[in-house]
Amino acid sequence: MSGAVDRAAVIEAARPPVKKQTLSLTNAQTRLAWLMLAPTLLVVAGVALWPLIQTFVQSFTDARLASTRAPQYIGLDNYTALFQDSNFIHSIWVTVQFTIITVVFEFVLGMIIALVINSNFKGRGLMRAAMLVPWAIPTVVSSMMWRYMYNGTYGVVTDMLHRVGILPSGADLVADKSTSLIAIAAVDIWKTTPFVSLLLLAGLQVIPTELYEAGKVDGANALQQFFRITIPLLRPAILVTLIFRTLDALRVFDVFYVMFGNRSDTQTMAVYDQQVTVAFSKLGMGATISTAIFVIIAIFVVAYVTFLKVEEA
Amino acid sequence: MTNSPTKLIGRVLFWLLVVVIAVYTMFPFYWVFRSSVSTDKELSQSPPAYWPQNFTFENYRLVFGSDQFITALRNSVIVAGSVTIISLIIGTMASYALGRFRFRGRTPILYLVLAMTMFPQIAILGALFTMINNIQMSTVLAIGIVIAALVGFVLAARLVLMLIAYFNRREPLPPREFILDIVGLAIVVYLALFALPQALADSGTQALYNRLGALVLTYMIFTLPFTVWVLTSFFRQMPRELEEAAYVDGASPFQTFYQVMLPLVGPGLVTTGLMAFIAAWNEYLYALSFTQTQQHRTVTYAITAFAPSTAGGFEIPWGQIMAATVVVTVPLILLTLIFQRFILGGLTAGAVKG
Repeated sequence: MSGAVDRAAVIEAARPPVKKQTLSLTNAQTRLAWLMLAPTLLVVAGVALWPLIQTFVQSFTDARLASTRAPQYIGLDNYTALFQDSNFIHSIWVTVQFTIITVVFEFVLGMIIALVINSNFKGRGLMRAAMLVPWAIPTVVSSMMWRYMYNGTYGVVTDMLHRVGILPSGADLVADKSTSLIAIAAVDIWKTTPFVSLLLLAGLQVIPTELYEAGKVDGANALQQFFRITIPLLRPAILVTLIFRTLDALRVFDVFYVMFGNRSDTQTMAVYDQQVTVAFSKLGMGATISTAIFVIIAIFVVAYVTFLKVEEA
Repeated sequence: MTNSPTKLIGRVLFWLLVVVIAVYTMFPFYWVFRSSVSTDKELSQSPPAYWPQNFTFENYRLVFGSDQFITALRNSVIVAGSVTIISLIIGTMASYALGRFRFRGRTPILYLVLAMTMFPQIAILGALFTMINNIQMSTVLAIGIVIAALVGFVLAARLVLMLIAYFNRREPLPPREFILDIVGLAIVVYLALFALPQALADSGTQALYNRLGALVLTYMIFTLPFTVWVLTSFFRQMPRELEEAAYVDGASPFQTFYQVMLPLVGPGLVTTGLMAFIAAWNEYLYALSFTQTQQHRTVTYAITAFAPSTAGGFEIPWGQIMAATVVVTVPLILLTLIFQRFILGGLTAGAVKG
């Protein structure tokens, strides 16, 4: 439909100016549209696009934060230094591990929860509402909650795991290097799985029940129904959820910063960037890290936007 | 067809799963509550008590007695509130244009908005830092005064027209608009003539850095694109007939937007406003990086920075932190539950439909 309208507008625009008529509705609309968009575009340009260009420019300089000395252009020095920076390489590795663990668990658990809520039982409305709660609270707050529950001496998670015999008494999941990443992933999984389940649930609810009835008639069992009907029809929702979660996980900051501060063995790309930029005041180097993060994430965004055709929404 | 023992086992397993999910989601909240009403001594005992032994509100008393926390609470309300209002005002206009008008350039802008909803905030941390360090408070306040004056002028003009109509032609005053105009005018006059000039005199020469304004400005990065995106889908769902009827009645496009469509998209405004508020309330990275003194910190920072209350103590005051957690999250949880239907719709519009 939009194509038809657009074509009409194009034809009208191409027509030679016959007589100066009163402003047609289409023209008035176009002018008003840009007028109404102007404040938003101005803000987006000012606080996002311009700083993005600035970041790119700064990444080739040795600029320092709040310094009166004019920054010098140093070419690709920051980039060559960054690729040899073991802290940064390690932070990529930490981020990737975290992303894989959380996205996989959140997706599987979220799918199970979505299927449960989607079946007909008393109290499903309540349960669906409860799923919103972890989503609504600040990540910083959930991180603090879990930091407390993970405490080696008086933490409840440690105590429970000790009671069932998994952990020795007084074990500290966060301090212990072999478990800290799993522990922190568990916090993110707890906070985000309900949200994932709601996104998947929204997809599940639009699948017509007739399909399952037809499947039953044809003798498909529950498992076959799930893999042959649910999964294919849920594909768009699954895709969006996975990409959304991947992007979020790649830029994770709050939970790591609250749990570990700047502990160097457990820094994500974002935590390392923030430390270099703000704590060390190395604006130029920070900009280089930012550019690297942006490129990594932009690749995913482009993939996402291409997958979902905006016009068909 | 299915024999009943299998069915029964299935039922039991299903309910077991429901219980496990409910406990998994809710137990940490119980734990926060239990810790917020326990004494410090009890909180540091090992193994932990699963039920509070000596019920106490001491932690809440300390939290509400803490200037640091109250200031942070106030700052968060100011920042999240301003961000929400500004995003809604300019976002509604943009989303109406994107949702209802056909014009060239619409599709690229939709792509831009969608891409912006996923913009990594960390990627421009340093540049934003430089920007707010270079912007003077005087610039921000001057812009504020100009905007307030313009809005005041429009309101005053409308008020005068209403009064002329009343005195000359004995037309009745529209009560709602009349009162809204007077209240709006009073606020704008106060801002333009007193509050903003006062602030200009106080802090005009300082940078925007370590000011709540820095957070309001930078939070737009994530609230605005999201607001525009979700509201666009709300506007798109409006029936075309309404708009056409308004045009037939001779309304201009802007009148149609303002008087016909805007009131109808109320639920959408509530949803997006609430979600923008929550997003701004929960933000941490910028709050941590762009503010420096206690006076300008927000709650997310304050909660991580509780100092030991007892002299000489190095233990983290978990009881108070948990009480603060309750204070910070309960309003969000209540709002979310009250508006859950709207929010579920908003999440779906924002994410799944794409």
